Amino acid sequence: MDKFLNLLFSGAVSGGIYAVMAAGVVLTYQTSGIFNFAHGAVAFVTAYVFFQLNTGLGVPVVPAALISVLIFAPLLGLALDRILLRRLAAAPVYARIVGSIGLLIALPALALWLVEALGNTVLDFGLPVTTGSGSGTVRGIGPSPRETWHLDAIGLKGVSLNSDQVAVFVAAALAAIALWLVLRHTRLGLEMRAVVNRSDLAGLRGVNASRTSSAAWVLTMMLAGIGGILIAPLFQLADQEFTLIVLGALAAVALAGLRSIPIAFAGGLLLGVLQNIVYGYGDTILPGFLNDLAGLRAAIPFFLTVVLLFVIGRNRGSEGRSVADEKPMADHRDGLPRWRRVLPWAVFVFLFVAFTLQWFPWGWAQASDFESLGILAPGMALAIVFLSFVVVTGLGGMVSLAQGTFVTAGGFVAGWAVNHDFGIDVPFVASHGKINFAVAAIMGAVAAGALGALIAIPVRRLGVLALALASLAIALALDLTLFQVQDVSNGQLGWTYPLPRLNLLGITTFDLSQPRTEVMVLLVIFGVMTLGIHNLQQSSSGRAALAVRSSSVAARTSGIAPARSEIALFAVAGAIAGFGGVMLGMTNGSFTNSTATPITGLLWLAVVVTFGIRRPGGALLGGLAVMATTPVFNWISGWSFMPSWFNDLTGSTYFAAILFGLGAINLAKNPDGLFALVGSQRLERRRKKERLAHVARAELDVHEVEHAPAWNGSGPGADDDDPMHLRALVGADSFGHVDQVVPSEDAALALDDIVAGYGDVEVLHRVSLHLARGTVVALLGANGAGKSTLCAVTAGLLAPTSGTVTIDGRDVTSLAPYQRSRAGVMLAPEARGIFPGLSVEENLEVLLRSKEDRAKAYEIFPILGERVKQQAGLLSGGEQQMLSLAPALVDPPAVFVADEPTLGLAPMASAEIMDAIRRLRDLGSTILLVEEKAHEVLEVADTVAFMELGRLVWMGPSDQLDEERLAGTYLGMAT
Amino acid sequence: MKRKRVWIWVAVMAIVGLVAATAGSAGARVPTQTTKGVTSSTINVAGLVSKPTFASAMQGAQARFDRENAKGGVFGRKIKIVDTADDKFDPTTNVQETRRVVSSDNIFAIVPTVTVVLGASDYLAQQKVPFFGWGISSGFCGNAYGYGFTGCVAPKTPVYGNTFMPAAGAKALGKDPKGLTVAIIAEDTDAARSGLGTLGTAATSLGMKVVYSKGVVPAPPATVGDFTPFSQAIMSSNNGGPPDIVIMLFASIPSTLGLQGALQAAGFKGPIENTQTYDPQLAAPSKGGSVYVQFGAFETADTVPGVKQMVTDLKKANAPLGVLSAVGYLSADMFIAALKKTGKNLTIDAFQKAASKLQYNVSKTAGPTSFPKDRIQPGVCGTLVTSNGTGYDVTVPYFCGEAVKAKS
Repeated sequence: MDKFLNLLFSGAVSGGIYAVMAAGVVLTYQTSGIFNFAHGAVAFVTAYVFFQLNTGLGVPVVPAALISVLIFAPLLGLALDRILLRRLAAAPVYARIVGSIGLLIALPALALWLVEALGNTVLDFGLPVTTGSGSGTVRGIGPSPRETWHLDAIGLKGVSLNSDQVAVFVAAALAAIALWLVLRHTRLGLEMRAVVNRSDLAGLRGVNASRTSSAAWVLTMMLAGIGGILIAPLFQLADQEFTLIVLGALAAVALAGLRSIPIAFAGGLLLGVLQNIVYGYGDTILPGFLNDLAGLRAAIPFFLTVVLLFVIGRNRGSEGRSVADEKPMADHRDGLPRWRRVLPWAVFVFLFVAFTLQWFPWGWAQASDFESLGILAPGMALAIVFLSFVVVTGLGGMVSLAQGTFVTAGGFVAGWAVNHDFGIDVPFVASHGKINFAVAAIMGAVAAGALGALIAIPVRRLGVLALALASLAIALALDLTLFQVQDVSNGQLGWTYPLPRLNLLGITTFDLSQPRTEVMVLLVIFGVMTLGIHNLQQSSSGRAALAVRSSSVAARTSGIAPARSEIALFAVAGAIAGFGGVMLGMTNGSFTNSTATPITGLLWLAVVVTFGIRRPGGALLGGLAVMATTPVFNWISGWSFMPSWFNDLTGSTYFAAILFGLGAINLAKNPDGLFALVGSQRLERRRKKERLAHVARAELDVHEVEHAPAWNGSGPGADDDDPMHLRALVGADSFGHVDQVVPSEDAALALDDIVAGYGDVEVLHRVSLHLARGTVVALLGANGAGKSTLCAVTAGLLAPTSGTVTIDGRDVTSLAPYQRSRAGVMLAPEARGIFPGLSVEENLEVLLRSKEDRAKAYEIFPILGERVKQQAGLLSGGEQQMLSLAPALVDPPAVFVADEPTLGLAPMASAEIMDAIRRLRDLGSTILLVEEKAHEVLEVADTVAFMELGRLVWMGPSDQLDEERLAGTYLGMAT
Repeated sequence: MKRKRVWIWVAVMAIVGLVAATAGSAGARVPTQTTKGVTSSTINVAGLVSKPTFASAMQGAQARFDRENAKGGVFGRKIKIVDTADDKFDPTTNVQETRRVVSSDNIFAIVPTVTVVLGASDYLAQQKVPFFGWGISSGFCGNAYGYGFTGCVAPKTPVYGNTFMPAAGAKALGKDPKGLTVAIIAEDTDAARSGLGTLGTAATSLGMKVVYSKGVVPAPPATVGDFTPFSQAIMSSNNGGPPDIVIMLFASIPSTLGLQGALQAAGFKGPIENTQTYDPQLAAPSKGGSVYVQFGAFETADTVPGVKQMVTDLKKANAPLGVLSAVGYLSADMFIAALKKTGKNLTIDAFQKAASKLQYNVSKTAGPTSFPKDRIQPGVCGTLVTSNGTGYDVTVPYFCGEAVKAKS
C-alpha cells in the first residue's frame, strides 16, 4: 500500500508537466481554433532563451525566467499572431494543422540558427550550445543544486521530491488556475471565447477580433513558455523532446475534449499517476508477452490517446472534415489545352533524363555518380512516398500523420522478406531460397496497404483534426514499440536489400545497385503511379472519393459507401508509402527505424504542402527538394565570392528547416502550394482577358440594338475591366421612383452609391438609401435582391467596391465591423445573432458590461432570466432572437439593422419580436428592418424601400405604398 | 477506351525507362584501387563522426596525427584528414555520407570512426576501407575492416559479458565480490535488455548475486519525469532492502542523472555506476556517481606516461580534454600502430594482413586490444572515476576485467 501511495503521489507531481502542456494546448485551441502542434516548439524556444540568458549571459535565474516568460514569450506571441496565426485561424482545418506543423519545424530551427550560426559562427559571441555531451543541461528555477525533501514525516515512506519537481507542480497549477480565471471571468476571456465561437458576430458586437487574437496568443505563448522553463531542467534541452512531451500529453487533451482547461489539467496529473503505476507495477499487472514488448510503457499515453479520441472525438465526424470544406482554389490550368498542361512536365522529364544519362556534352549538364545521383535517386524514392500524401490528403481530404509509419512498415517487411530464407526456388519469384527484390518490394507495399486499411477502419469516423491526432498517436505508439523490436527492425542499423543484377542477353547489364539505374527505374515507377493516380481521379471510385470528401452525408444519399471509399484511399496511400519506403531503403543502402520516424513524417507533410499537395508534380519536386536542399546550401555556403558570413549562415543545418517550415506556414492555405503562386497570377490575367472580351461583346450587342451609348463613363472606377461597366449596361436609373427624402448629412444612416459584391459577382448596383433619425425603414424585396448584402455593407462585414456609408454624418466606410459597432451601428444578422457556445449571461455580457444592464435585459425578457447559465445554442428560436435583441433594448444603438428577425419563428414569437422592435424605436433608435414577409413590418415601418436585383427601385412612406408593386415584387413581375 | 490508353502509356514508359536504365549502368563502376589514398609522402584519411555531439573526436585524432607528422610521419608518410563525414546520429545518413567520402575523396582509411549508428560498415568492407574508432556500434563487430580500440562493445546480439563494472563496484567498496548484491537497470529497448543478460552473467561469474535486472526505463525520445517507481523497486530489490551496487546501462544522460538522483535521495550509499557522465559539465549534476571510463582517465596523467602524453598532445592541439577527444586520439594512435606494424610497403592487402593480428596496448591508457579476437569480444579495461561535484576522483585505477561468455 505504501508503494502504491508513493507512486500515486509522485506521479501526480510529475504529471504537472503533462498538465501544464495539455492546458496550454487546450487554451490555444479554445482561443484560436488552432491545434498547436508547435506548442512544444514554443516551450523549447522560451526555455532556450532562458538557457542563453542564464547559462550564457549569466543573468540570475529569477530575472532570466521573468524576461523569458513575461517579455520574450509575449513578444513572440504578438509577432506570430501578426505574421501568421491570425490568417491561419480563418483557414480550413487542414491548413491549420499543416501551418502549425510548419511552425513546429521553423521555430526551433530559427532559434538555434540565430544563436549558433549568426551568434557564434558569424558574430563570435561564444554563446553556449545545447548540443555536445553534457551541455544543454538547464538549471531549474528552484535552488541549485536542487534540494531534495523526504516525505517520510508525512507518512510517505521512501518518497522524495526535488525542488525542480515541486516547482513544476506549483507553477503549473498556478499558471493553469490563473489562465482559467482569465478565460472564464474576465472581459478579455469572454471576448476571446466570443471570437472563437463566431468571429463575424463578435466583430458586429464591437469585439476587436485582431486584438483578442493577439491577447490569446500572448497568453498561450506565456503558458508554453512557463512549461518550457519548468521542464527544461528535468530533460535535455532539445526541441524534439519538448514536442514529444506535448504529444505525450495528448491523452489529457483528448480527455478534455479539446475544451475544458480544468479537465485537461486534471487529465495531465492522472496521466502522470498512470505512468508511474505502469512503471511500478508493469511487471506484475501486464501479461507476459506485453511485458516482454520493449517500449510499451512509454507508448501507453499514445494508445490511450487513440482510445480517448475514438470515444470523445467520434461524434464530431460530421463537422467540416475536409480539405474542400472551403471553396476549392481555382485551378490555374483551367481552360488550357491538354498539350499545354503536359508540356512543362514533358520538358522537365526530358531534361531530367538527359541530365541523368549524360546526353549533353557539357560537364555541368551531366549527373555525376555520387553527387547528383546521390541526390536524385533518394529524391525520386521520396517523391514516390510523397505521392501517398497526394492520395490521402490531396485526393481524400484526410490529414494522415501516419504516412511515415506506412513507409517504415513497407521497408521492414521488404527487408525481412528479401533476407529471409524461404527455402523455395521459383523462377522470377525466388532463387536460392530467397525471394527476389521486386517481389519483396511488392510484399512491402501490400503489407503497408493492409496496415493503412486497418488504421483507416477506426480513424475514418473521426473529424479532420481528430483523425490527424489519432493517426499521429498510432504512429508514435508503433514507433516506440513494434518498430523497436530487434527482429522487426533488424537492430539499429536496419535492413539492407540485396539488389538484383541481371545480365540481359549478354548485351547489357541491369544493375539496380547503380544509382543511374535506380533513378531511371524510379522515374518510370513514378510515372506509372502518377498515371494510376490520374486514372483514379477520373474513375468512378475517384469521383466517389471527391464526393465523400465534400460531404459524406450527401455522398451516402447518392448511393456511395463512404467507408469503402475512405478505407480504399487509406490502403492505396499506405501501399504507395510502403513501396516508396522500400525504394528509399534501396537508394539509401539501408532501411532503419529512423528512416521515417513520425516526426520525419510531419516534416514531409510540410514539404509536400509547400510544393502542392493536389498534384503528383508537387510530390516530385518536393522529394527532389528534400534531398537537394542540404547539398545545395552546402554548395552555396562554399561560394568563395560571397562574404564568409553569408556562407556561414546558409551553410547551417538549420537553414533548410527554417525554409521548409516557413514554406509550409505560408502555403498551407493553398492546396497547389508553390505552383499556385505562379499559376494563379496567370489564371487571373487570363480571366481578366476573358471578362474584357465578354464586356466588349455585350457592349457591341447593346450598341446594335439601341444605337446609343449605354453609359456615359462618368461613374466611379469606370475602367475597361471594371464590373461597373456591366451594371451600366442595364441602366441604373431606368427603374421606378426612388424618393430620397432625407439629405445624407441629416440622416442617421446614409448609404450612397453603394456598389458591392462577392468575387466576380456584383450584387449591389449603385444603391443609395438614407434613413431619417428615429424612423423605421422596412427594406423589402425577394430572395436574392441584395438585402442581406446591403446589411453586410452597412455593418462593415463586406467592403463596398465604391460608395460611402455615413453614420450621423460621419463617414465610416473604411471602418471595421467592431469600430462601426462602437460608432453606433448594431446588426442583428440573419439566423440569430447569438454566440451558441456561450451561456445566456455571457452572450449579454459581450455588449452589456455591467450587471445592472444585464438585470434590465432579464426584466425585458424574463424568459432569458430563467436561462442564465444555459448555452445559448440550446435556446428556442424565439428565445435566441430575444437574446440577440436584448442588448439593443437596454442600451439602444443609434442605428439598428435587423436582417429578417422573424425568419423561421412561430407567429407568437414573431409578434413578440416585432413588439420589441417597436419598443426600440420608441427608445430613439433608427431602424432598418429587412424582411421578406412584408405584411408584419408594414405595421411598424414609417418608410418602405424596395429592392430588386441589386437596385433600390422604390422608396416612400408606408402609407403611400403601391400594393400592386408590392405584389409584383414578390411575383417577380415588376417592370 | 480511356483506361486502355493509360496502360499503353504505362507499357511504353516502362520499356523506354528500362532500356535507358540499362544503358546508363554500363561501365559506371569504378574499380577499387589497392593503395587508394596513399603516396610516398602522404596517407589520406577521413573522419566519420556524429556531429555535433561527437565532433571533438576529430580534434583528438588531429592532435595525435600532429605529433606523428611533426616527427616526419609514418615511414615518411604524413597522415592527412581530408574530409569528415557527419551522420547526425542517423544510420541512413551514415551510409550516404560514408559513400560520399569514400567515392569522392581519395582516402585510405576512416579515422576516427565515432558513431553509434555505423550503418556503413558493410559498405566499407566491400570497398576495402579499414575503419578505426570507438567500438560502440555493432558495425565494429565481426567486420574484417573494423578496428575498435575498445573491441566490439555493442554487438547486435551480445555474447560476452564484461566483468569490469561489477568488479570495479566491489573494488570501490573495498570488498570481495563474492556474495555482493548488484542491481542492473537498463532502458526499455530490445538492445538494452539483451545487454542486461550478459552483464548479469559477468556479475554472477564473480560470485555476485544479481537481485534486480530489468530493462524498464523508457528510452529516448520518450522522457521520464519521475524516477520514483524505479528507485523504489531497486531500493527494495534485495529482500526488501537496497543492493550493494547499482549499475545503470542508459543511453540517455537525463535518465542517468534522474535515477541517480532518485537513488541518492532515497538514501542509497553504495556505488552507482554508469558509462556516460565523464564530462566536466556533468560533474556537478552527477555528484557522487561513478563512471566507467574506457581508457586511462585524465586524472591519472601524473602517474601514467601514456595518459600524460595524451593530455600533452591534446592541449598542444587546443583540443578539449573529454571522452570524445580521447577516443578520437586513441583511434588515431591505434591506426598509427597498425601502420607501423605494416611497414614501409603500404598496400591495403599488406595493411590488412598486419592489422588483423594487431596487438594494441598503451600501458594503463588503452588496451590491451588484440585482433581478430576483439572483433567479437568487448574491451574489458578502464578506470572507474567518481564525481566530487566539481571534478572527478579516481576510485579504481586502470584495470582489466574479463570477457565472460554467456550461455546461449
